[in-house]
Order: sequence, then C-alpha cells, then structure tokens
Amino acid sequence: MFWGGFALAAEPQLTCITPLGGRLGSTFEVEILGKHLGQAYKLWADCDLVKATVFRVEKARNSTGKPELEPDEYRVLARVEVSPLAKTGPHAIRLVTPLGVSNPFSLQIVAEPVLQEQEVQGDNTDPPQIVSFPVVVNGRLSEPGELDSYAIDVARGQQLLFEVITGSGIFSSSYTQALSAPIAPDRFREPTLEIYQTTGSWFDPHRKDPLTCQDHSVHFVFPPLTFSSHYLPRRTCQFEKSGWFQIDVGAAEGRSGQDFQYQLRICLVDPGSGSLDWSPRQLAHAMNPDWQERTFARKLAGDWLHQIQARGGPASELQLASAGETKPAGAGLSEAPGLVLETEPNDSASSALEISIPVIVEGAIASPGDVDFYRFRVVPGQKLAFEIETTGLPHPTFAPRLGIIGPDGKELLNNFYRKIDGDGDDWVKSLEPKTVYTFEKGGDHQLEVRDLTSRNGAPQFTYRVLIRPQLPHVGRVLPKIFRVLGSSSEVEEDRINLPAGEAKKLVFIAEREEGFKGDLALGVENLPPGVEAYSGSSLDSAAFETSGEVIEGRYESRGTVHKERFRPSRRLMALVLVARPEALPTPEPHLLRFFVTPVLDGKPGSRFLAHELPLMVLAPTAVGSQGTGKE
Amino acid sequence: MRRMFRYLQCERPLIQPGTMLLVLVCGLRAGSPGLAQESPRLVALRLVPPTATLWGSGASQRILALGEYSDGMTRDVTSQARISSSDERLARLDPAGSVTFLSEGQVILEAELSGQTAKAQVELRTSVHEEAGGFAEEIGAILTRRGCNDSACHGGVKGMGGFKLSLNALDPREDYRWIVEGGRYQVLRPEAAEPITPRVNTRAPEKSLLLQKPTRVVPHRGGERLAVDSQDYRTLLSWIQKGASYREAQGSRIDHLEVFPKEAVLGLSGRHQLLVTAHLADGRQRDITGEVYYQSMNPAVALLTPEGLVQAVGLGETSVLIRAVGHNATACIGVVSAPLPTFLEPPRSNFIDDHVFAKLRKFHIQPSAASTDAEFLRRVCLDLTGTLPPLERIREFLASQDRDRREKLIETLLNSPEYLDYWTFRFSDLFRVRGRPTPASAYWQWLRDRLAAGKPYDQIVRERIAAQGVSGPPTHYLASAGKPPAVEQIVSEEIRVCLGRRLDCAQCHDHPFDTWTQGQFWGVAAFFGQMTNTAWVEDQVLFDDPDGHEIDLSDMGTTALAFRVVRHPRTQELVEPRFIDGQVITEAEKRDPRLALARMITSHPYFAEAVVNRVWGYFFGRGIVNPVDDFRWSNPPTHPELLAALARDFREHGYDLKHLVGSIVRSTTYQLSSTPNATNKDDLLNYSRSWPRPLDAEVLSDAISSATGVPELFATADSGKLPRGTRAIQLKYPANYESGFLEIFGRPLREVLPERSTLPTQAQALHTLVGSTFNEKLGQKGGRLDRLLQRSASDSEIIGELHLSSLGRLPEQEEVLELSAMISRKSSRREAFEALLWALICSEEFFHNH
Repeated sequence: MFWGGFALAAEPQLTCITPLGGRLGSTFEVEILGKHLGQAYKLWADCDLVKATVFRVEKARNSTGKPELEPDEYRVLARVEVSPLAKTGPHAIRLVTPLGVSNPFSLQIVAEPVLQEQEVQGDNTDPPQIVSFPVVVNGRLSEPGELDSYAIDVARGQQLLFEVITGSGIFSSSYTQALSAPIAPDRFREPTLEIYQTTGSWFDPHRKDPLTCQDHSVHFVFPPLTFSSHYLPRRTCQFEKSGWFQIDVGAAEGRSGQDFQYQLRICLVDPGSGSLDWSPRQLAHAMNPDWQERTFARKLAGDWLHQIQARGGPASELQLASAGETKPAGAGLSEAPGLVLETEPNDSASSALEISIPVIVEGAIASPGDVDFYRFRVVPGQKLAFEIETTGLPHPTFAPRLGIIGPDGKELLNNFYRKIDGDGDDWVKSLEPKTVYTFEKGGDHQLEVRDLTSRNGAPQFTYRVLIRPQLPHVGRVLPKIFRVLGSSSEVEEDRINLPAGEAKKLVFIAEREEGFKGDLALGVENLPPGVEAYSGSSLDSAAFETSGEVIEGRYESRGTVHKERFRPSRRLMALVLVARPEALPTPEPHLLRFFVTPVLDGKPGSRFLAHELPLMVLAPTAVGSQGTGKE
Repeated sequence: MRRMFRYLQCERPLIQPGTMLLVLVCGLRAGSPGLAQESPRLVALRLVPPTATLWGSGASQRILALGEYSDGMTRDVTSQARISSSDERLARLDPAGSVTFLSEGQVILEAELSGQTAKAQVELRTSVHEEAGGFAEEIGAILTRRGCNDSACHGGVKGMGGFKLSLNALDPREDYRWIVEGGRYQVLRPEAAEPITPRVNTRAPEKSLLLQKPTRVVPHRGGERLAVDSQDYRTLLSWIQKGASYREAQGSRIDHLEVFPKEAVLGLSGRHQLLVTAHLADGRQRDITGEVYYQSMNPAVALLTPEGLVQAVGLGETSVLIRAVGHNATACIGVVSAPLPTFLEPPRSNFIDDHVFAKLRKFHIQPSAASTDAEFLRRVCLDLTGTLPPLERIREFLASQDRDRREKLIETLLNSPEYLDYWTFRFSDLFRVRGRPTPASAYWQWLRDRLAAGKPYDQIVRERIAAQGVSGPPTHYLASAGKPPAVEQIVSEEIRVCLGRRLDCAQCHDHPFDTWTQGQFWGVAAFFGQMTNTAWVEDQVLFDDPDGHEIDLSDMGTTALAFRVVRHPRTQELVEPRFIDGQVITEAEKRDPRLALARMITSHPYFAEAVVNRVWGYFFGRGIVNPVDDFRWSNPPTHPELLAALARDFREHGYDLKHLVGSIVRSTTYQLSSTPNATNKDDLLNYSRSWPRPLDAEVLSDAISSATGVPELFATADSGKLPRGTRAIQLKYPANYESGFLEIFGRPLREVLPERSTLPTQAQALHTLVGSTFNEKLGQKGGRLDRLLQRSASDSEIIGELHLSSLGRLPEQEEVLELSAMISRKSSRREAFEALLWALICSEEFFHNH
C-alpha cells in the first residue's frame, strides 16, 4: 500500500462558507465553519483585489446554542473587501492558522446587487421576500424541508434568467470526502428551483402553479470519476403577463444542513449584459490553472494551437516550416489551420464538404437526425488529432459523435472510449473530446459529425472540430495523492503545511500527449526561506498494472479499448520539499509555482506553469502527529 | 352499502329515503320491475340465418328458430317450431334443424309456432372450388374440437406426457412433426428427447398411439376423447392408413369465425343453440357449428354440449369460448331469474350510454337512479383530481339551482391544476417514474408538461418508447441499474402498458393461453437490442447504436468485450426486429429501431383500445376487459361494441386524454347512483350502478389530511423532508419517502409495473385502530377540529363540517340528533368530537369512492 501526503488530521479544514459570495466593490462579512480553525488569523485570497480580515474565532455551536460534539469545530467571522477592479467569478479563499493553510473554498464575486436571505420563522410560513432584479441572493437551507421564497414584480414581455449555484462541486476539497464516501449526504448537490404564479383554483384560491419555463439546467460530475454528480437548475422564462411571481429555492428531498448555502441569480436575459456565466466549466475550472485538453468546453479557436505547441519542446522542432520544406508526417504544423464554415447540404458522404488539414470546422447539428460530412485526404502514416468543442450547449445536452470513415466506406474510428469501470464489472463508454490516430493507409476519408441521439438538433447545437497533425507535448502535470481503496484512486494535493525540520514528497503525474518522448524538468519557484526542493525517489508502482504507468480510473486496468487513442501515457515525478530545522514559520502562505520544461534530445523547450500550491512553513511544535508518507 | 360508526354502534343504509320513494313511484307508474307477470306471449318468429348458401354435396347448415316474446326475451324455439322445406328433393331437413345439400336449386324453409311464421331461403349450388382439407383442417380440427390441444392438456407449455401440440393447431407443421416423428418435447430446446417413437403406425394403423390414447385402449390421463365408432376416429384412421402425409388445404381458408348469437339471455331453465359460421377468404361461408370446441368460462352459470347447445345453470353472466383450427371466437351468455317487463330508460348523455343501456336492456337489468348531487360531487372530484371538494364548494354546489351545474363542474375540474396533479400521478405510476431525485424529477416534469400541454397520448407514448438523450423519459430505461435492462425485461412491460396484452409467457415458450408465439416476443425484443448509454451518472446519454450494449463482465466470465445480441432462446438464431403483426423495419429505420417500434405500437388498433380500457378502469374499478392489461381471446370484453366505440372516438379526437376522460364522466352511466335495486345488486359487470371503489393509498392519505386539516409530512431516510403541505399524489418518486401508512395501504414503489390490490388487509384494519395517521391528527393543534373548538362552534356546526369535509354531504337530521345526544353525554366534548372524526375517517363511506 502506498500513499503520499494528504489532509493530515490536524490541518485546518473548511467545510462551508456563508454567504457564498458578494458584490464587486463591496464589503461584507462571511462566516466560515470548519475544523482545526482555532486561532485562525487571516483569510488568504487568490488575488490582491480581494482582501479579508478575520475578526472573530469561536467554537461552533448549533442552532440550539449547545456546543458541537466535535471539539475541534470552529466558526470564523471575517470581513471581506472586494475591489471594484477585481474579476467577477469564483475566487479561492483559504484560512490561515498556526496549523497551516486550509483547503480552498470559493467566494463568488458578482456584478449584480447582492441580497441576503431574510428568514424569520424558517418553517415555510414566512411570506416571500421581495427582491428586485438583477440580483443575487445569498441563502441557506438549514432546516429539513425548508423552502426559501422570493417574490419579484415582472413586466409583461420581460424574459428573465433564474439560476442557482451551491457551495459544493467546485474544488477538490470535496475529493477527500468523495473518496471516502462517494455520496456525501451533507453536500448540497441537488438544489431545486421553481418559479410560481398565483393562479388560484376551484379548490384553493391561493394555489400557486409553476410557470412553464425553458430549462437549461446542467448536470456535471465533479470531481471526475466519482459518483459525485451535481445539478445546477437554470431556467429562462418569458413572462406573458405582468404581476408578482414567486421563486422557491429548495433542496432535493428536502435535505438541509449548515453547509446548504446557495446563490440565486435573477437577471434579464441579455447576451450583452455582461452577466456572469455560471456554467459548470466556469465554476469548476475558472480557479484552476491546470491544463485541460479533454473537455468539450475548451476553446479550440484562438491560440489553442500555440498553447499546445508551447508545451511541446524546443521551439526548433515546432517552427513553422518554410514553404516547400518537407517534414516528416505529424512532426508539426506547417501552416495554421484554415477555417471552414459548414454549409448544407452536407448530410451524406456524396455531399461532403472538402476540407484540408489542418482545419477548424464550425458547424451545427441543426435538426434532429442531422449528420454533417466532411471529406479530407491523408497520406499513409499520417498522425492526426481530432478535437471537438461544443460551442453552443454544454455536454451532455449536446453529445457530439465523431466518426472517421475510410475509403472503403467503413467506419475506421470514432470518439467512443470503452473501459471497465462502474463497480468493476461493467464496460462503460464515454464520448471523448479528443481522439488521436495514425492512418496506415492514405486516401480520401470522411469525417462524420452528429449528436449521439436522433432526437437532438437545433441551431444552437453548434460545434467546432479541429483536425491537425499530432503535436507531441506535455499535458497535465499535477500533484496527486494515491490511495488504494480496493483499487487505485487519485486526489489532488491542494496545499502544503510543512513543519520546520520535516520534508514532504510531492508526486506529480505528468501526461505525455500524442507521443511525447522527451524528458520533463520540474522546477518550483517562490519557495520561502529555509525550504528547498529536491527530486525524489521513484514510487513503488506495485499499486499499478504496468511499471511506470499510472492507470486512470478505478477499474480501467482491467480492460480498455483503443486506450492509446484517448488517453495519454503518464509518468510519475517526485519532488521532495525539505524545510530546514531553522526555517522560520511563514505568517502566510507562499504560492509555490511549479514549472515544467520539456526537454528533447538535450534541448530544453519553453517552460510553462504546471501548477500552483500554497505552502506554509509551520513551527515544529505546532503539529501533533505527522508523516510525510509511507511506503 | 352501510356506514359503521364505532362510536354510535349503529348501522345505517346509504340509500336515502327520498331516492327510494322515487323508485317506487316510477315503479307504480310504469309497472313495478320484478312483480309477478303472466306467461309471455310469442309475438314474432324468425329463422336464422334468413339466407344461406350450401356449396356442394354434403354441405349443411343448421337453422335456428327464434321467438320474440312479450316479456322482451328471445328464445330458441327450434325444437318446438314446425319447420318444413319447399322441396325435399333438393335439401334434407333433419329434426335438429339442420338442412343438407342434395341437389342444386333453391328451397324455402318455413317455420310455424303458435300462429307465428317465418321463412328462410337456402341456395344450393355445386361447388366450383376444389375442396380438400389439409392436415390442419382435418386432423388439426379434430384435435381442437376434442380439446386435445387445449392449454390444460397437450397445448400447454410443456405439452402432456411429452406430447406437445400447438394451441388451436396454430402451428400444424410442428404438430405434424410431434405426431409423425415422435419424441418428448423440451420447453427450452428445439430437439426432441428420447424416446423418439412415432405416434402413428402406418403398418398397423389401429395400433397408433394417436388412436389408442384418446380411445383409452392404453391409459390416457386425458380420459376418453374419441369413441371408436365416431366419425373423428374414422377420419384419423383413414389418414394413417393413407400414409399419414402432410398436405396443405386446397380451397379457401378460413378468414374469421362468427358466432350467433354474440349475446344471449336465458331464463333459469333456458337453452340456446349457438351457430358458428366460418367466413372463408373467398367470401363464402360455411357452418362449422359441429366442428368446433366449446368451453364455458363459468359452468355455474351455463354449460355447453359438444354440439354447441347452451344450457342455463345459474344466475349470472359468462363467456363461451369457441375454438377452431387457427381461430377462436366468443359469445356472452346471461342467465336471469325473471325478465323485466319494463325497462326504465335513463336519460342518455352520449354514446357510452347507448352501449351500456342496450346491454342492460337486453340482460334485463334495471340501472340505478342518478346519483345525488352530493354523491356526484365527491365522486367526480376524487376521480378527476384525487381531491375531496372544499367545504364552501360543497355548500355552493348543493345549493345551486343551475341545471348545468354538473357540466360546469366537470369543465372546471378538467381544467384545474389539481387535475394535472392527479393525472400526472396516475401516469407516473404507469410510466414508473422513479430513481434518483434529479433524473426522476426531470422524468416527472416531462410527463407533467406533456399532460399540461394536452399533448396527444400517442405522441407521449412514442416519446417514451423511443426516448434518447439525457433527462426525461430516458430515465425510464436507466433508473434501475444505470444501463438499459435486458431486452426481455422491457418487452413485457411495453406491450402491457401500450397494447394491453401480456406476452410475458411467450418469452420462454409459445403462450399457453393465447396465440402469442415465442417468435413474436423476441421479434419485439429485437427493437430494443441497440439501446445503450454512455458514462455512469447523470451525464449519461441513452441512445441506439448498431453495436448495442456491452455485456457485463460478470455475465461474460472474462474481461473480453462483447455486445448483447438478441437471439431466439430455443433456436439460438439472431432475431431481427419484427412487430407482433409481422411488420419489419426498413434499412433506414435500423439506425433508430425504437422510433419505428413506437410508430408501430401507437398506430396499431390494440393501442387505442388498451388506453381507453385502462382509463375506463380508473373510473369504474374494472376495465371493459379486466384485468385492464390482459386482453386475450379467452378474456373477452364485457361490452365489445362499447370498447370499439371508445377506441374509435379516442382516435378520432387525436388521442386526447382529456376528451376521453370528459366523455366518461359526462355519461349518465358514470353518474348513476351506487345505490342498488333488486335487479342489479349483484351486477358486477354491466355498469348498472356505481360500484364503490376503495381509494388509492395516496388519495386516502390526502383525504385524511383534508378531513382533519392536518397535512402529512413526508421525510426521507436521510433526514430530508418535503415542504409542509406536499400531498401524497405530488410525490414524484415515492420510493424515496418513507410512509408506513402508504405501504400498508398498498402504494406501489414502481420497481415493477404497479398493480394495486383492492382487498382490505388486517394491517389496514389495525392501522385504523392504532396507526398515527388515523389517530394523531384528530385533535392536533391547528387542525380542523381544533379550530372549530377554538372558535366555540356549536355541536351541530361541528357535526356538519366534519361530515362535509370527510363524506362530502350534510348529515341527516336523525344523525345530528343522535350524535348531539351522544356528545352531550360525554365528559369531554373534545374527546367526543375526536371520536366522531375518527369514526368518519374510518368509515367505509370515507374509504370508498362511491
């Protein structure tokens, strides 16, 4: 059994924050609950434009006033000041204590006016709280069955957006809990949202009925590969008449808890309004500088290729070839990809649009059952990457299926990745945003794009497909914690609290994309005085199937199909941080920046920022029992 | 129907004095039903069939003489009438009333009885068709009419004694194989087991098992089925002597059977001959009355001879099943004690009444009077909305003098949000809305939105069958295991829900009680063979893929990747999608087979009749075919024309559920009282009155909450709770909400197709005595009684409100006096009223919709 460092027993751990956020350019108070927060003295934010001051720390009490059973449960009050120049969106905040820096939590900064839920009785008998839009309301469902009701006055013809986010499903802080208890009951993962009008009825003159709205709710799984699914209700309503309408926010099955915070946003539907897009890709990834190339949400246009190239190695190998210079197939881009806009009809092989690689194709599955065909030519041995982005609607609302059809008319490959997963005895398949393939034979091939179903299709089912030569590069490089729970599992490190005189090993998984064969030089910057970094010993790979290869997923090692088309190879790199005995405790975290430099044939390429982690040096006596790892 | 008040220790009939008086007055004016009458007179005579054509030598036709009598009965008087032929050289007439071809020409038959005469014309023609029966028509017919291939015998699942025949000789080639080749039948394997002994002996035909067994020359569990000197024995023997060959029939095949009469009403000692006519594909007809197998479904009501003579045994109604080779038919026989001299026709509201009253008239059953306003109001509110009417609305309705008040009420209820709540609940049961909260909610919402929009039901069903995508109806296929179930698990449910047929048995073998074959079952299963999904949790997408779904490792035994295929379990052959009527899909449809299936299902005639039958069942406690999803030839509808008319009307109105529901509740039939009269107190089948129906668990729970003024609180296992005031019919996915009350009163959890039992249980009885739902709400602070007592309401006011809120009616004066007296004798007024409220909500009147 192996594990690296993970959340130590005495490290400060945040469990919830109330409210979830505030307005740009405002000052507001927050209450943070968590463990081991005694003597918390600072709220550390991810940018200088969000400042916070801790002004009270006390033992947590429940609503009856009695102390919690957990002796180390604390309540911290802080005042947050948000500069008008700060970015809207999620900001990571952490608490700093003598025991170190806590896990991150999200503070959602919004541009709209912010209100706080006003609760009097808490038993659903309160009249709805009147609010004016645009508005973001911070609320909490603390009692079972609680419904928070709000009333708005709407004019005829207005179209409004209503959406709810909660405090869970944003950071890997839920990882630890997710692994130990995949369905964590106290995580607010399924809020409910209803918009009502008082219609009255023959039975009940006060009866309210839900308004029929367009549903844009999204589901997503976060962290990946867990059973922790999240639901964000989102509706747009076109109001056919003026009047007062009621909005109810609740939780599925009437669940509740101290950490059932939410934000309800109500605003006019106006693409140009600048309202924050709360889609899960923003929530889950906006804070995360980590490289993401396997999501349907990444932007394939713009400088995407430059980003890939920047991670590929020495610039000499990837320079744009001058005209006429021959290069080995797949060795790099010889030209920037052209842009092809889909034109109908192209719904059969015979009417396929001609494209030449590299290319970005933009199209839409405009009606149910629509299929788009594109014809392209390859040479024998050509190595290509097929990437797809859903530009209009998120996956899985739009589930784009790619197929490549060979000269013989038969499908050569598609973007289904099959692996053994679930509870260990199921073949599970997923649609993949990126597929790589080496064409043994040349000739004319067809790209077929359609939705997985024959039911979906509309002008907003837009996609962008990038077909390019494979570009060997470094993918994600992330520090992981490995824990064997009957199978391999991974958790991201989210902080380092290092007592002086001790060491901590960080194990990085480095993904080597599209055949990258070079070496990686891993470096770290912004170490506090007294802390040094050294390369560490290799890991015992007994937990994994093949030497040096880390298997993603819990049961994937039992079987996959064409894994090479969908998953990078992975290598482990260890870095040991050593705090000298004389190292002084740091009053606040140092944000360590881990850089990776790809090296090919002895030549270093451009370095890039792979990851950031806050580190605090602690006093040697501040921590009870610690270990940096067991093997 | 009696109410029982534990507190009062008395019993009271439901019938109200005013109603009884009305019936008596009507009876006195028009002639009281059921009073002794003089002997009926024959008022008309007719021969059936009035015309017939006999083709060729030996062809015969049985003739019936039917007498119409003054008491409204039609009686078979063939044996009493004098029937003669105009030319006995052309046709022979026997005493049983059968006329046989002798020579070409035309004869007129004349019947005379008690001064009444009737005629029939018979054409006699030489047949130009070469008629020769094949194996099925000759041998199969014998096996059918002798009951050999009945499902209780060799036609059963396993056959009998290793010898298997197909039901009704539906598969004559297979029958021939088992007769001529021999061997023991195996249910799950196509090959025969040892010993392989032919059941015919062409060298010594008389020693064939096929002859020795039914004549009991050798032991035969089925008893004696053939006499050695019978024509059927001689036919079998001749066939064996000629080599026992298989041949197809020459000549026209039977297209369908017709039975006359389809409905007959007999007196207690009555008899009636049935006529069975085979309609041939070339348009000719042939009398096969003596060539078919007859079976009474209820021998306590009527018995039949092998020649088709029905004999009344006891009062009631039964179906008669008639089986011929490859075909079957049914007839309905009623037996009454005394015919109604006068049928008091209730006012007609729509076509439903035409059919119902026509049969009631024929069967001499007088429908009950119309329901009172109080009866009707409570009934229609519960049936359309699952909700008791509010107090003010009851008072308003009962006081209204508007002649159209019922119609206006129906219209109001049909367009109420409570109607939507209730019918979303109803169809959530049928569609099995269940699973994790978010996907189950989305599925529920999908259904509700469609009902709210008035979407045609056939479109809703098509969307459900062919569901693809992330949320909504795909949940139906993914809720239980996160992946599509095995295809055989889906077929039975879809056919039951959409077509009202039960193909379940045909999964493993040809259906033992109906004509469904295993091939038909698996042909439908193949439509689901491509169903698959991505991923594992809420981002999974259900779709159809040519590869289909991957096989679990636990089923494979290895980590090899393989895909589910649909194979016939006996032959192991791959099965292509084929609908029950033989329709196959085109190449273009193979990409989306379930869409094609959805079209086939919703356009099939079975679809509309299954839907209307099920909806009818909601309002009357039983379907026109009952159970509502068990259509089969041996379970015929009680009112076939009504069923056909409802189905036709449903189709013509675009499968509009609201129109269907509205038609039902607007009918006079629906609005009849539940109070019986002398002629209909035992009538269960003919809708001559409203039969009290126990409230479903959810409706009962909500009714108790309404009557007591204390809402139920629904909690989940992990401390979640629904908002106060959430009603039981609003629970989207019931399995997540624990409720001892709902479990005890039979709430289904939707893991399988829900079936609710109407039988009371001991647990229910105990729950009324000591259960929290019946006892803790009575005097709860803020509840109805508490509020009444808090504002110092008088005894009569409280008694009145408690009656109205629970039973939907005002108490009778007598009840008020008795209750007031009893309450005044109790030391605690509060406790006395709690006891009264308890008695009300425990009463049969409260428990039932009547």
